[in-house]
Amino acid sequence: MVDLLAPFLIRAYIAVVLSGVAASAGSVAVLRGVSYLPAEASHAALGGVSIAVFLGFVLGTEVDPFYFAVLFSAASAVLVAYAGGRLDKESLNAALGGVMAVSLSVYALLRGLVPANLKVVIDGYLVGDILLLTNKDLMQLGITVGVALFFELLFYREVMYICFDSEGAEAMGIKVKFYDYLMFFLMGLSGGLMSKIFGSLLVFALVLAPAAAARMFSAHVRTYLVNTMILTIVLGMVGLFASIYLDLPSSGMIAGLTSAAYVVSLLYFKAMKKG
Amino acid sequence: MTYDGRRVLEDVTLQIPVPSITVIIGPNGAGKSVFLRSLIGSIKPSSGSISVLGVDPVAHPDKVKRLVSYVAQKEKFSYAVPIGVNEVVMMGLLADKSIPRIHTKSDDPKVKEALKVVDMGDQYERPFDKLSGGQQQRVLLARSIIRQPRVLILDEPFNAVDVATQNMMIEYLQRLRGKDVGIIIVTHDTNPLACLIEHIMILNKRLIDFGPPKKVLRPEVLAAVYGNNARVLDGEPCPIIVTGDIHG
Repeated sequence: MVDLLAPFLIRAYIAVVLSGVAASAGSVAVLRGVSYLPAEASHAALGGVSIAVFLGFVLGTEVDPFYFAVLFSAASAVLVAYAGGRLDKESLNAALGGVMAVSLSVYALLRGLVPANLKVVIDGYLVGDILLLTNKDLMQLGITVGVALFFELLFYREVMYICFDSEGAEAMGIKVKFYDYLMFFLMGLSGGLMSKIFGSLLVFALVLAPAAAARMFSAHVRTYLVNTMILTIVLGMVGLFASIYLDLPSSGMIAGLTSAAYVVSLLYFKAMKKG
Repeated sequence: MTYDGRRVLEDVTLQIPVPSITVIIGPNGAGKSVFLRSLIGSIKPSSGSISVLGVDPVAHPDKVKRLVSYVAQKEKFSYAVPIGVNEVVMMGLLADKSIPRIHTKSDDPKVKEALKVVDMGDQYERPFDKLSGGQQQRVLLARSIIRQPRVLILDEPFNAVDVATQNMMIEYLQRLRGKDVGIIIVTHDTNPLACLIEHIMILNKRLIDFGPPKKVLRPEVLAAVYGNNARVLDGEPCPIIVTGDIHG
């Protein structure tokens, strides 16, 4: 029988809650028309982790890959905003692809240059394990999520106005360029820290799927952000318990549930529209 | 004036009187929207200067943005954003407040009043994306007028708008003009406004002509811009009507 209050599980519960808060970045990405950005940023995190591990290997010291992961993913998101120029869909998609290609090249190149025991550290960000998080990991995640949440709440209206009508927002004196860069930075930050919890490969399912599902039953931006958080947390907890009792990988189980939630929501709303 | 590295508008020298109703026409890609956005400081001229009620929008964009209200083309709005009618209009008020732009109790009656003016008082909490094109345009007009601008700029306000909304908007624009508000409208179809237009500005990557309709709307001027797709007809009570170049 599994002790549901075992320290590693308590850390996993906290991580699920933190990921729920971070998942609101997925909602912002959907609203801004850059749904893929957090996932792209989480892949860019792999480049950052590889650099940290490689540096540690070369310098013969330990370099914490987490900071490199979140900074690299946030910087890649800002680079996408910059390269995307006017932030129209075509330019952004091209920029997303370009930046992801650079990050993954760095990852592939540097991963090949470090010994096997360090490859494991890098691969931890590719397919993360929520049950292996340490207290230090949680502290780092908590601070990063806290910073992202603070800015999200502080600039909630700016984000809403720019996503809705960027030209109108600019005409009313809102510094659209500045907030766009900030938004991209925070989405990148969230993608990076989600890669630590669930692994880059599954960030799509963890950030985009709940946000896309919640959009279908949310009538206002505020409720949309809250619904995304709640959906991610609820599915995260259910997935976590299910994985424990079925003895299956936790991240995979949670990602499976969030993806299923998206598919069910989509089918339900399609059926409602037809009916 | 350059946009995205391309030269889109040049050789524009004119003075638009405020108050007045001025309509800007020209073919697609003539630089009409760029001209409008330059008035609010969103696009900076590569040479020359602009002054709006004595304020330079490049040097003092914040000052100009308090004098001018701008409604972009409806097609540029994102309908992926779930936002209520009241929130859209509230934007007009909260944009001038300090971050985090918290709305107060005194803001609600203002929003309700602005919506009532455009006959949308009963749609206060409806989702914006559930409104018809005409209703959306009314809400956007309410968002503009709540800011009590000295100059109101509208980019293609009659696109995909029903006749009732068009008439309501024209009537309201007339009232605003009576309150000494300057109104600048980009449109492909001047007909609905024919009796109200005081000045017409014709653009085609440069200023073709500017002045009262009777002076500007001459066959040779329109032919130079539109080719054979436009003509001028005389009529009563408004003597000049432009046909052609009406986009669906």
